[in-house]
Amino acid sequence: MIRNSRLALLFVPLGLIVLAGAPVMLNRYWLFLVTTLFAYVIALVGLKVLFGDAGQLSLGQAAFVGIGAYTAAIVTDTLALTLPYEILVVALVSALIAAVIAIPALRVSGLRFALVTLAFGELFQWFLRDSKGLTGGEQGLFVPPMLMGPIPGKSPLTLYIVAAIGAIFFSILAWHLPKTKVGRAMSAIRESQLAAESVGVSVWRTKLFAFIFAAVSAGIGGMLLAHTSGSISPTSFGLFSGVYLLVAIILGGSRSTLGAWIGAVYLVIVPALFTTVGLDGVYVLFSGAVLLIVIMLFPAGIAGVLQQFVATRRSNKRSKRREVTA
Amino acid sequence: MSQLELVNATVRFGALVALNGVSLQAQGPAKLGLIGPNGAGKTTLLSALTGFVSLSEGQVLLDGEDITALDVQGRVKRGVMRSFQTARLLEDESVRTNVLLGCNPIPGPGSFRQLFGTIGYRRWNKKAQERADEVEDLFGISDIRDARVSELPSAQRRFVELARVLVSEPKILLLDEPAAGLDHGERRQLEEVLHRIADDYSTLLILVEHDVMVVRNVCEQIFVLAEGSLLSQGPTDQVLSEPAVVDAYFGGAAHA
Repeated sequence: MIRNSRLALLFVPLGLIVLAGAPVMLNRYWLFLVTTLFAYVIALVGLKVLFGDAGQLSLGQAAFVGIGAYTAAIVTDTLALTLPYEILVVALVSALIAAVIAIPALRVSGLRFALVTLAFGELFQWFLRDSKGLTGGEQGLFVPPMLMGPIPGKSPLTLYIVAAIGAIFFSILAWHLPKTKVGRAMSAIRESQLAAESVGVSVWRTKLFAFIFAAVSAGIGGMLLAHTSGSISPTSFGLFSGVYLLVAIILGGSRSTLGAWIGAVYLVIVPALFTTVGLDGVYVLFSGAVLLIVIMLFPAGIAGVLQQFVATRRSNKRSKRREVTA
Repeated sequence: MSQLELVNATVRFGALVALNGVSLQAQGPAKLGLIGPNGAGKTTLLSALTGFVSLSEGQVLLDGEDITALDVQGRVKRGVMRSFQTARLLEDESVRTNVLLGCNPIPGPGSFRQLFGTIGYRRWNKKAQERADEVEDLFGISDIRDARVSELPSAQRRFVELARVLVSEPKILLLDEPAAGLDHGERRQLEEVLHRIADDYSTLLILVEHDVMVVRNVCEQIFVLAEGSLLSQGPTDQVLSEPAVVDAYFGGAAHA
């Protein structure tokens, strides 16, 4: 906690300045990318809680992103819901579906849990492609802009601001969570189920909470992605996307909220940079190499490396101070 | 006042009979010991009382009420807690986080209210922190509360685990070999703390322990288990001098 708060002190003001300056300095394309980044941050924060905190490896996070995206597209189109109601409906639908999936999924753990979430993802893909009337099948759907009364929901700046608020909001929740009773219960489940039980942790209820939190954050992230891109189709929410989300959080650092931000940069900004300099093909090679290096050398991800760096510097400073006083 | 009772309890693991029709009654606040040679069924008995192992036959009664069907969580809620032979800790976390994990049985606001940090949860949290302060003081681990548990020596890890089971102030506390891995000085410190747990917190303390010295110094009454059956019970000094107990516990060597 202490290590984290030191790092937060460094990154939070810096981040806020960048956030405020971005719309002025960035062109339309980059503003779009950063908005997409925020949407991914929200989805990854959920995976951080489910996988990093509670230790449940899910391959179904992309499907929940899809649920949010499709729900958003459908409710803004058919019901013309304004943004606050849309958020509420997306969150409720995501939570409800998660609660239903949880009945089989949370009975098992480890690899079998991953497989159940994978099966759910495949089922969702099948549903998207098969229910043309509702989801547009392979073609997908056009997504109407957010409805925000007098505020233009289509404007990139509006999208940027809404997504930024969402990303910050979910980040604060995920940062606060490990300090709570249920957050500690999650750590206990991850580290030693026996220890968790011995202090009376309800393993099932705690996992359910993590699963629903992850689903809701994925749903809200998906909602923002849908509005940002303007159209959605099944391929964006398939198994590959699920694996990429998992890779991103492991690379960024699954035990830290900062890791979700780094993971989102890896997913959104890095490929765009490669495209900008005309090296599209190299991105795959680069991302594979980075992943390999991080997994082999830095199990706590890039955020873990940064935290370690700050912690070492602090203890060095402290020992120097001790030398001076001695 | 709390009373934990085992009625005619049998536990089988396949063909192995780990406990064979054991009946015993423990009434607290008190400091009781459970001793016996290796493989006598001590840990099985402790696990049966706390719900980690289910009985093949027999009953567990808490204050006269049948809790045989209750799982671990249900028993923890009623104030029956245990520690493990090897401390099960959150290795990556601080001492304080580990102790606070022990506050889990203290009733409080639900998960979503915790997530949003409501006033009710803040109040709960303040109380939990105060209790953690108190037990960390008791075990002398206040000054290392920010240390990461994986970096601690085994004695301090032991105290962290004991602080964790004690912080929710259970009515009944079952400790599985708390003195294992402690040196002489640390054992004396442990004994002192165990006395204070039973006296200050009016806990029914049941100690499964290999070290007869610790048992003699702490426990008023003991139960002796041998080959899954209760061999003897009564005041510590009296039972420890019984020839059958000496024979079972120390083997033929004691007579030689």
